[in-house]
Amino acid sequence: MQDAAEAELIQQAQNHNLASFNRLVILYQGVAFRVAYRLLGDEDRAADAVQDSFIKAYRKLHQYRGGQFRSWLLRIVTNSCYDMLRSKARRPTTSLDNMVVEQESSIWLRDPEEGVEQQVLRQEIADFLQAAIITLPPNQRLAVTLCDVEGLNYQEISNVTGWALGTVKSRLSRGRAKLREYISAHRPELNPARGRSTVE
Amino acid sequence: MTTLGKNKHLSDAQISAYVDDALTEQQQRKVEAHLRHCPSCASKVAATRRTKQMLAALPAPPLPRAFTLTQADIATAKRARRWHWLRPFWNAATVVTALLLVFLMGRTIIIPATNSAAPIAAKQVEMASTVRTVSTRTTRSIAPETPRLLRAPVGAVAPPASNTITATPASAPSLAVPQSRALSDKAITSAQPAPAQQTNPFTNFFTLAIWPKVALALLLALLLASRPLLPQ
Repeated sequence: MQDAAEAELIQQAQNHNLASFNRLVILYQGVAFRVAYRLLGDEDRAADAVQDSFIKAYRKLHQYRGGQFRSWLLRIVTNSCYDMLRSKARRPTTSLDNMVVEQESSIWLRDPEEGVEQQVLRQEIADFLQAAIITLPPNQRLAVTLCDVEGLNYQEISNVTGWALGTVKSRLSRGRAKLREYISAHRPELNPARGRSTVE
Repeated sequence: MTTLGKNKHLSDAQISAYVDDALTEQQQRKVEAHLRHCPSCASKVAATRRTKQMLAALPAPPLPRAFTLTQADIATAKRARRWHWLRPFWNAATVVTALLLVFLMGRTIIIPATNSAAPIAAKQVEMASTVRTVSTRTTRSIAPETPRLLRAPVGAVAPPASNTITATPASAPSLAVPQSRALSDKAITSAQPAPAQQTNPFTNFFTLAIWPKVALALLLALLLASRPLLPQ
C-alpha cells in the first residue's frame, strides 16, 4: 500500500504522531515478523527483533526519503536480525535438532478444516523447510526468504538489502541450490522424480 | 550467461533465473533446448521449482503480540540511547586491556628464553644463599641434590666461570653456575659483580611482578562480563 493514505500516515508519523505510526505498524508487522522469524528461526527472538525495529523506525523516521516504505522498514528489520545473529554467534546456542523438536509442538500451523493427517503432514513439512532455511548462511537465507517466501522481486530485494542485482541473483541461486540438495538428502520424497522433464 | 555446450550442464544461476522467468527469450530457448536432452538438469529445474512452490506455500506464523508502540516504549528507548555512547569506549577499553595483558604475558614468556636471565639469576642467587647457609651446616647430606636447583637455563648466563658460583646483589644480579659441580662452601664467593651482564630495569617489573597481570586479567573479565548490560 504505497498510496496517498500511507504517505499521509508517514508524514504524520514524521511529525511525532505515534497513533499514525502505530497504524503503519499494524500494516507491516505481519511481514516484519515473518521475515524475522525465517531469519532467526525463533519466535521470541523474532518478536524482540521486530519490536526493536519498530522503535528504531520511529526514531529514524525523519531519515525516510520516500520510496517503498515496506522496503525501508524491512531493511531495519533485517539489520536488527543480523545484529541478533551476530550476538547469538558469540553465545552458546541450542542445536538445530532441539529447535526442530521445539517447533513440532507449535500449534500455529493447524487449520481446523484440515484432517488430522493433513495437519500433521503440513506441520512436518513446514518445520522441515524452516530447519532447511536455517542451515543456509544468513545472506542466502535472507535472499531466499525475501524472494521465495515473501515473493519480492529482485529489485525489491536489492532495495531491502542494499545488494547489487547481481549479488541478489547469485545469493538466491546458491541458496536455492543448497535447499534443493538439503531436501534431496533428507526428504527426497518431496522432490519430483529424477529425470522428469519440466520443459513446458 | 555462458553459452551451453553439448556436454555442459546448466549452472545454479541459470536454473534459478530460468525458474524465475528472468532470462531473455534467446537464453530461455537455449536453456529449454538443453533441458530436452539433459535429464540431470531437467531434474534440478524440477526440484528447484518444487522447492520454490513449497517455500511460497509456507504458512505464516501468527503474531505473538501486537507491536504497536506506547510512549513508555519510546521513553525507555531514549533512556537506553542516553548511555549508548558508552559502548564504543567500553569496546576500546576491552581491547586495550586485552592487548596490554597479552604484552605483559608475552614479555614473561619471551624474555627469560632470550637475552635476559637476570630475574631468574636473582632468584637463583637467593636460593644459592639459602643453600649455602644450609650446606655449611650439613654439607654432605644436601650436596647431591643442590645442582639441579642451581642449574642455569640454556644460554642464559654469560661467561663460564671455572668451578665457582658468582652471587651478586639483587639490584645487579648475575650468576655463573657450573652444572657438574656440587656445592662446596669454598666454591661460593659472594658479592662479585659480573661486568658483562646488563639488566633492563623494567625487566624485573615485567617478569617478576604478577600483580599487574592479575589486575589486568580481572579488569578484562569485568569489562567482558558487564558488556551485555550496556544498552544496544
